[in-house]
Amino acid sequence: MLTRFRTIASRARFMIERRRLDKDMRQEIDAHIESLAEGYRRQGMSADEAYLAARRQFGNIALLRQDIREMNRIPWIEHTIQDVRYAVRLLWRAKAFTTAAVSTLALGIAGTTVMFALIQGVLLRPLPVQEQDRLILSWREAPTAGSAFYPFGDIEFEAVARESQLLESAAGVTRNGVWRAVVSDGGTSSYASVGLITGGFFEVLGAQALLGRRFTLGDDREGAEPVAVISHGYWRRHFGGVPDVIGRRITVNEQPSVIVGVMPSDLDYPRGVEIWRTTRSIPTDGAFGIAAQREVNLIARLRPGATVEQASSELAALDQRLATSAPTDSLRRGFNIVVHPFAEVVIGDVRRTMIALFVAVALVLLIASANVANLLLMRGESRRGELALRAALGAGRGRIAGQVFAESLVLSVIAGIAGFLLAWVALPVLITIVPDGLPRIESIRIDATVAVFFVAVIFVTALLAGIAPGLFSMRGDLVSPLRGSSAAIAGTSTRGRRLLVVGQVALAVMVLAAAGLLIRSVLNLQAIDLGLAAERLVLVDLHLPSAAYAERERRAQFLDQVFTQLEAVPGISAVTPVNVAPFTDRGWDVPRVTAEGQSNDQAASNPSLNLESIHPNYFSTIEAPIVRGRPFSAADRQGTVEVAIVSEDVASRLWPGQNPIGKRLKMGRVEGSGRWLEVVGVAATTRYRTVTTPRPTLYLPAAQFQMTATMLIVRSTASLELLMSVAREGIRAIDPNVMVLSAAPFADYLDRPLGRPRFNAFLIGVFGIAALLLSTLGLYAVMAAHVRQRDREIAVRLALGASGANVRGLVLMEAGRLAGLGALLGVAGAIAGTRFLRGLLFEVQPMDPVMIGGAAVLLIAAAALAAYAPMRRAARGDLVSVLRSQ
Amino acid sequence: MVLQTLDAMGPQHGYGIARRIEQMSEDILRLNEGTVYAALMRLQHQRWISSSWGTSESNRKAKFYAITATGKRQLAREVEAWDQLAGLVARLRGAD
Repeated sequence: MLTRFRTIASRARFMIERRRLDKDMRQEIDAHIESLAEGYRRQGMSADEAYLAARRQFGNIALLRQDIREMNRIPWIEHTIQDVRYAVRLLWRAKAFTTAAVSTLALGIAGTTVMFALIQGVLLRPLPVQEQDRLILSWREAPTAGSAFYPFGDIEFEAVARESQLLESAAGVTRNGVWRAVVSDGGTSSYASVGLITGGFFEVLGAQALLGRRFTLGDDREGAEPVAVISHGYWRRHFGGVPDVIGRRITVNEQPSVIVGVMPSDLDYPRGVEIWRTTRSIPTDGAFGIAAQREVNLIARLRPGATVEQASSELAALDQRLATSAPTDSLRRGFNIVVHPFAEVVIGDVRRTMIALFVAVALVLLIASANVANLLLMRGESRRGELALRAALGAGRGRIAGQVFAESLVLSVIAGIAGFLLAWVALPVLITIVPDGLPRIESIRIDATVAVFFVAVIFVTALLAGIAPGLFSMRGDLVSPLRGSSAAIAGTSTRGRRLLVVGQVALAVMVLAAAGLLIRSVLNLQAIDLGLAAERLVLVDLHLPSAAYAERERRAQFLDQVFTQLEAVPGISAVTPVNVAPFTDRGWDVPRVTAEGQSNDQAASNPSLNLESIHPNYFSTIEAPIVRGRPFSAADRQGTVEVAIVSEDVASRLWPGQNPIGKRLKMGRVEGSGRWLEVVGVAATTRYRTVTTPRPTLYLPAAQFQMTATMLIVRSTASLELLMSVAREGIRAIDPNVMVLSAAPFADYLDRPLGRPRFNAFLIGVFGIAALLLSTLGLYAVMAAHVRQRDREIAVRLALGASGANVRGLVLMEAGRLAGLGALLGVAGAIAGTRFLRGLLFEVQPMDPVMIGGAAVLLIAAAALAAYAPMRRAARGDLVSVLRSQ
Repeated sequence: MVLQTLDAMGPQHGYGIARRIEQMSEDILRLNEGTVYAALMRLQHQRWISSSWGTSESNRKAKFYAITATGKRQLAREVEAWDQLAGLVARLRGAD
């Protein structure tokens, strides 16, 4: 093996120098013969005789040189180089063909490479933690309602970590994701996303700080200096990436904090986090007291060898034991522990989308390759004479096939280079327009793996595009073309081309069906009835300093002043404060609710509720109708009867067929400490919390419950800028410490949940159009060739009295056959494949007959269009000119 | 044979090698002298000899071939093998 390799290496070396060596050798031989001849001359021969004798003694020069040349070459490399050179020359001559083939392939390759870069960055690249497979996240879920979570308390997870045999270490991480906080850095204030964790979080992850240090358990003790660790992205954006950020003092919601560390990029959990703080750093005198600190999910590192399933059952058993030994919380019962691999939670629900998009773009590339294969086959036909001649002159069939393949290789490599440049430019652009919510964006780039993938794509493309033409050039009769018989030309490769076109149509139907389904989903999403009048609603962010507004009365008093101030402004018709921004899928939960008269068992099947704590003018401001009873009023305050409004779906679940007004319910279990609330109204269902599904909602008057007032909803006809300045000044006049940092129309909030489906639909729509165009092109090419091949037959038919319509029908029939068969296969493929899209669809079934059938019909229509020009040409067929051209 | 020649005589050009072999073999072996060059090329591929341009004794430009270290080792191996074979043949003949 080694000697073999050495021989190839030295041959390669000699091959490169071959010209020089050959010249050397000639000189040497000449000198040698000259020396011999000189010897003979000295022996007394004449010059001619001496030369001849010398030649005789030396032997056959030509043969020798041939031998030596053979020694200095590697045949297959030379053949390849020859083939490639020849291919480049040919392609250069056929510029139109080359441009068409290269540009379609380049687009396909670029798309595939970009999608793979996204997949590599988001799904495949390891997280910046140690042994991510051993990391798990755990929380509790109610079996009745998937949306109801119940967190671990910080005390609980310590107990769990202590007693578990399977967990190596454990920590807590906020279950609510990041929350917006006002960060002050000297004079300026801005919003930042804060994620709460316990001291051991980074240690469990095995993540090291890029600068400074990570949190330790000591940071999480009562009385420790409040510290913050910032994300790489926040460090770059907010601090310009300066190293002396360590030790800087900032305030987060007015609480002083020291920055002790910067974490590496791509550490993005909870997603979108900019500042990590410890759970203990949250003051317990806020709206939710100690609960704010305690709502954490468990993050843990499994011991080597332990599986997620084992950990899941162990945690469930531990939870049971802890619950019975310390029955602190009756609410918790009925919730089961769930355990998920950490990486799965981090990546979230984008896996399916990305794979679907990748498959779609790969199919487009496949269609483009089929097109190129088709074009090559067609060229193969027109070059049949040449190929036959080469075969006749002794070229092996392998050589001829290799030569055809070299063409597709050259095309693919050129297309690959163009595609790579395109991907290089497109990837950063794509990343900037990806709507937020794509995790791990920082880790998306073109790296070695992507490069390897890209090279593989080029070769696979070359193979796909070249294999059929290569094989067909090997098969069949190479001799009859030389005889000038055109009948033989129509031979085998026609079937190959038709097969390719049928395949193309089938793939295009699949891509289009998927595109149709996603686009339909987006249209459905956009047509949703939100249950509220989102037009002319503006959200103004409000930041109340938490210490000064710790008391409920103080907040209520301030808000009253704000209403009077703002509602006096012309153009503003209503103002109401809210706790949580709309359509963010976040909010407050009531995991368990009990209607009066229900037993615990009956109550267990009640839906878990979304909780909105609202001011009396909430419904009138967002224009959500009260369908029964009354809205809250100023009379619903502390000390009066505690009241509630429920959404229609809650009323019909809890009191089916009855009038819910006057009925009572309570949060928690029947024996729990919650007080009975009297239902005074029924509100229409809204999608305030989650756009895709209306959530059963319990409304409580803020005066009797809670109002953090992080934003104001304003119904206004004024422009955003005007509203912003009015709100700013009005509020500054009431309290200069309250900050108003931004305002945005409701539509912007609606864009967030709709952004991703829209983006997906846009991408797959583009792929679908590409697939449609490419396969139409393929169909056209095949139809044109079909007509050209049969022109003699057609001309004879016409001459014998067939009408133009007959001939057109003939061509249309052929197109219909190809497209019909392809569409049929495509429909079958779509039915099998679109099931994968289920999670991405909104109010449309994966097997939606309209969408799948529509895709098939579209392709058949495209086939008719593609057949149009060839059809007309056929009908114009003229026997004389056709016969003359033979 | 070529290796042996180069080893014994130092760097030589093709003509010189041919002469030497002719002389040594005392006309037992009469080959086309051209084959020397094929042999030289093969040896170069094996890296047993190296070549460089120089001037011959007759003041001609000529390519000189010299044995390399690997070439010497190979020669030693082959000489040994040959000697063994020759010894064996000699013993077999002695046993006749």
